[in-house]
Amino acid sequence: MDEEVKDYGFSTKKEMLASLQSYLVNPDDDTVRLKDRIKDMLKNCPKLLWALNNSEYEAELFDEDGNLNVTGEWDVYFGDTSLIRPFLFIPETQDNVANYICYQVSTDENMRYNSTMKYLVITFTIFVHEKDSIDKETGIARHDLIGAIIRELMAWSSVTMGHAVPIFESESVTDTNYVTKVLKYQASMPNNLVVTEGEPMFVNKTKA
Amino acid sequence: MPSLETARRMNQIKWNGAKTIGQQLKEQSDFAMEDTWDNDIQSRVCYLYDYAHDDDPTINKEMTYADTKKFRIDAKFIITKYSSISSDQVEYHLMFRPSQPIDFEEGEALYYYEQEYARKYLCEFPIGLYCDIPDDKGIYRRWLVVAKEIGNQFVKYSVLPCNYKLCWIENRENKRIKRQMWACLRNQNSYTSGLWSGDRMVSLDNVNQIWLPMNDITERIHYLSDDNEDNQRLIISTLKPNPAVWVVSKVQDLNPLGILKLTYKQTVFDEHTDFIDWDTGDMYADYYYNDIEPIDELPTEVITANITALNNYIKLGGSYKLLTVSFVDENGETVTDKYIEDITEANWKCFIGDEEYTENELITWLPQATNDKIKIKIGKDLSLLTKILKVQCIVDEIVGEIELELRS
Repeated sequence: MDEEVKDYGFSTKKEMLASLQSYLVNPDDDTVRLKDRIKDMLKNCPKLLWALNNSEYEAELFDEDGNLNVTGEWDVYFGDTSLIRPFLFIPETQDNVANYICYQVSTDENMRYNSTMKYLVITFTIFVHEKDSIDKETGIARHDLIGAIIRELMAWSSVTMGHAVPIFESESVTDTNYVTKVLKYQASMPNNLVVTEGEPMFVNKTKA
Repeated sequence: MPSLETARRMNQIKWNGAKTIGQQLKEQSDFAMEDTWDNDIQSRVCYLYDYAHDDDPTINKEMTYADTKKFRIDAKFIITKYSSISSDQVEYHLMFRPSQPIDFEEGEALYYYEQEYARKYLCEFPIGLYCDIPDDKGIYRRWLVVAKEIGNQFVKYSVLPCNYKLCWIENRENKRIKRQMWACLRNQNSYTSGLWSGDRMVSLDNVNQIWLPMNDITERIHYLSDDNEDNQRLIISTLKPNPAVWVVSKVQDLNPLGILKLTYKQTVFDEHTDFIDWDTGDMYADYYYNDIEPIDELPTEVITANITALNNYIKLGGSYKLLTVSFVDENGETVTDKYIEDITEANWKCFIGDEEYTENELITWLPQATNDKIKIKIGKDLSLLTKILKVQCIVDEIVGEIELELRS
């Protein structure tokens, strides 16, 4: 009896990796795709990077004459151990002053009476070290300053398919000496209806 | 009040360098010690050296001296106390001939101690040097001179047996270097874990320490702060599948001067990053910390080129990365100015694996105002993730190199 051959969509590790890497660009998974777009949005915003106030990286933003260093290594601000992270983490108490932005993409509710649409929420959590809580060059509390820059970036942006509207803004503290601010933006989007097999397509039936 | 004659004699004594009776007896004792030196069973022919003059850096016994860079010295090995199984390794004493100089002039064999140790680490000869001492069977064993015992009669030095070869990975200017140094394991009972903490109880435990000679390699072992993931991790263990791994919790370099004391607390073996070489017995923590493989030693050519960057990775589709090449002579002096005119964009090359990518469409070079700097960026080809981009700057056959991990 012939053994049934399953079709996995790939036959090599290279093909499998290419299929996984396509999550970054295909519209199938909103979380992966949107986080990648938010990453590009944040790390290409010198205002925001400067407001994080990291003296080690500032030479990447401005040269000695104060000119914007458009070929600086701005992406050093982003990464799993850097200042902008695509997940929530709570920085521990530490002596070296550092400020962080974490962002999350989540859904906890569908549109009422319409399960094909969902409310997608983008959450930004800002952590500002208590020793660096007011920006000396603008006089604005740093968490408010960073929050205002994110608001400017998100306002009417096309980072989601629909317009992301602010639904939440609140500040607090952690017991590890950080001032925090949480910003939430909501967008209504199709509820995981797209499958890319060669070309993206909408599906509304159970897959075989 | 002394008589005029006595006063004159006293005045002469003051200026003619006359010695007290005690000093004269001491001098005579020195002569007697020299004359009877070889009759004492404690007298040995020993060898003093630092790590740079070590002919056999991989062993701590059975060294030979047919052709050696070590300094031959007569010494007496003196048992001062006896060990107890319940306490730490006791120290023994080493005494040199009274005629042995302890300060050195330029041209003398041990002048390097004045230059590289005494001036920098405020220590006194020979603290911080290794000493090979023959045991009762005549087999040479490695010891470390750790302290000076000042005495009225004869000055002695405390020595401890070197019983562990410490291996670690040093991060220096984007290079990861394998380091090894013979050390003395120390243990003190019932203290704290080595970490002081004010906000919670800390249970009593043994303090584990390892003592190393201070030198330009060990001085870079560092401590950052509590629970900092960049604190130096070390494998200090017997050779076994899950060796004991530790993280440095305290670094002391002042007591005694010339010795580096590391206190450490236990952590866990990570089979993904820690490495055991079963052939040599060398064990390195954080060997595979990133994909840049550690190198054995820094290059020792007369002129060396070094490329530095903000970090050891470059992001695919990311921004430009600034690379800076510098040239250093054999004395460690920067001589970049001699070469800076010769550097052009054509001197820079890059490779992924064995394939040259210098002219590849994914690579963009951006020359900078000064020739020693260049910026590079790479396009977003995710199939290159986890590979290594090797960038070279070659000037007059001097090759500077940096390896950058490709990340998203």
